[in-house]
Amino acid sequence: MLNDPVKILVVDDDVVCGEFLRETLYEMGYEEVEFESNANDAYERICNENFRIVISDWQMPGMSGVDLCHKVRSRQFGEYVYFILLTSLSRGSHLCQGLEAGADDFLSKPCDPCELQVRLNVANRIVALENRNLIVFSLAKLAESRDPETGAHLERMREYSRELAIYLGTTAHFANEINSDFIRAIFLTSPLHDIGKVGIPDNILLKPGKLSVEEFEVMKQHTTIGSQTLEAALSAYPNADYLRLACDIAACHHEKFDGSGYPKGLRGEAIPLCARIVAVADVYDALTTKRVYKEAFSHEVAARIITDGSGAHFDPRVVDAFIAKQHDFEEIKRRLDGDPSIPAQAESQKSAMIASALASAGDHTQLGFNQSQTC
Amino acid sequence: MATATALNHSSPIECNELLERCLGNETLVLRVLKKFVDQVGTDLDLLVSAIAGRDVTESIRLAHKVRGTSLSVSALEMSKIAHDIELRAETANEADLLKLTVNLAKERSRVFDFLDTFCIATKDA
Repeated sequence: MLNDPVKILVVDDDVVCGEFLRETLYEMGYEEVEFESNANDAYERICNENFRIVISDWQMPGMSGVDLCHKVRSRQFGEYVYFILLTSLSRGSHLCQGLEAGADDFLSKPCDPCELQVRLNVANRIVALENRNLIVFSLAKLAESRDPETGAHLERMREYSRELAIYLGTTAHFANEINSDFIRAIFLTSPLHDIGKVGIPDNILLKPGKLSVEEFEVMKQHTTIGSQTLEAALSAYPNADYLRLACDIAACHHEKFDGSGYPKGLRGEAIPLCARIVAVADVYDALTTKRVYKEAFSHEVAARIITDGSGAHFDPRVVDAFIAKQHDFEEIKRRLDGDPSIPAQAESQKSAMIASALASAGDHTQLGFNQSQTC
Repeated sequence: MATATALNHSSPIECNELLERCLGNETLVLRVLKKFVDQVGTDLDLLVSAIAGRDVTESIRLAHKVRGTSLSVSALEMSKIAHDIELRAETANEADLLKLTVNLAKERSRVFDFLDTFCIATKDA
């Protein structure tokens, strides 16, 4: 039996081949193996169940294996789905077609158990790499545990970040910069944005009131502490590209588009794109979450603050993405909070008044917001 | 395994190859062969209909499927004939294709007769 079984879906309209594959996989120790003879049904199951490996026949009536693969790749899953195409088609053009659709590997028909085992060993190595996600997120949660009032902040903001990245990837301006790797990486590493807070003294980090100028200077250091920590990890593992993204996010998520942010006062596109995205996600979550020093703002108020910050605090293109995806933001919050905790507009008039005052002042971060929102 | 040791070269199924592919699991061999019997009858009928109806795309798909199914159980001659139909479905005339289909049906009968001797029920398929 395998120590860490993964869930596998076999898709084949040929029940003989499907049965053979399923039984062979059981024999090899894979306990969670499911079978579907129809690609449309298979897609539904892939969307709703946590399959880590899909082995699909190429030629099937209706949706083909290549179409299924393409469809899976067009959707973002929390974890990577390793896709093996099963085929007796052996021409180079077919292989290219499969690879272009996003297939990770091929398996020839009829399946040879040795080949199947070797292919799955590769698949398991790739899938195991995804376990780093758990470690990364655990690390982020550990850092967050010193400041636990934010609830599911990390869970929400990584989903907000992903939504923004997905949308921006569809725009001409970012089409070459944002691909599925970027989207996965920002989902993975955005929770590390405040990891440097582990280096901030409790009397500052947990202070309920407004920080003094000196205290705020100390607080700002969480960006450099976090990025230096991640830089050290990157030096040890230079091929871990996602750590580069994590460094950029930790270092630059408090930079502002007009150059008035910290720690370096970077301006415009000198701020890494990932940090410009996370900035919007982070602030939106801070605004719509109840803190000891403020009630949660309604979505409408938060949206107005972010819109007003376009070009000053935030990248206008990212703000445009936020506007386009704002209903998804509300849905994410509802889902992750387990209840509709964003107050309705009418119920948060006080918040709206405060926010309006902040917005008109141009920089909401300097007018009584606790450091949790801005640091 | 009885099925493997009783074979000779004219066997329509390469049982040693099949047994090896099934990791030496005789129960799995029998289960896969039962599935094969259930499926290939239906597919062959559909293939004949597709050829008679001059549905080239469906003919190719079904011939490809029969080829794959046959290969899975190491019915090599069946697989070869099905492959021939798959390759020629677009260009050959209907009579030639039906002739090939008859050959395929004959080979299927030979496979089924062979399986009958090992108590795999094929009469209802």
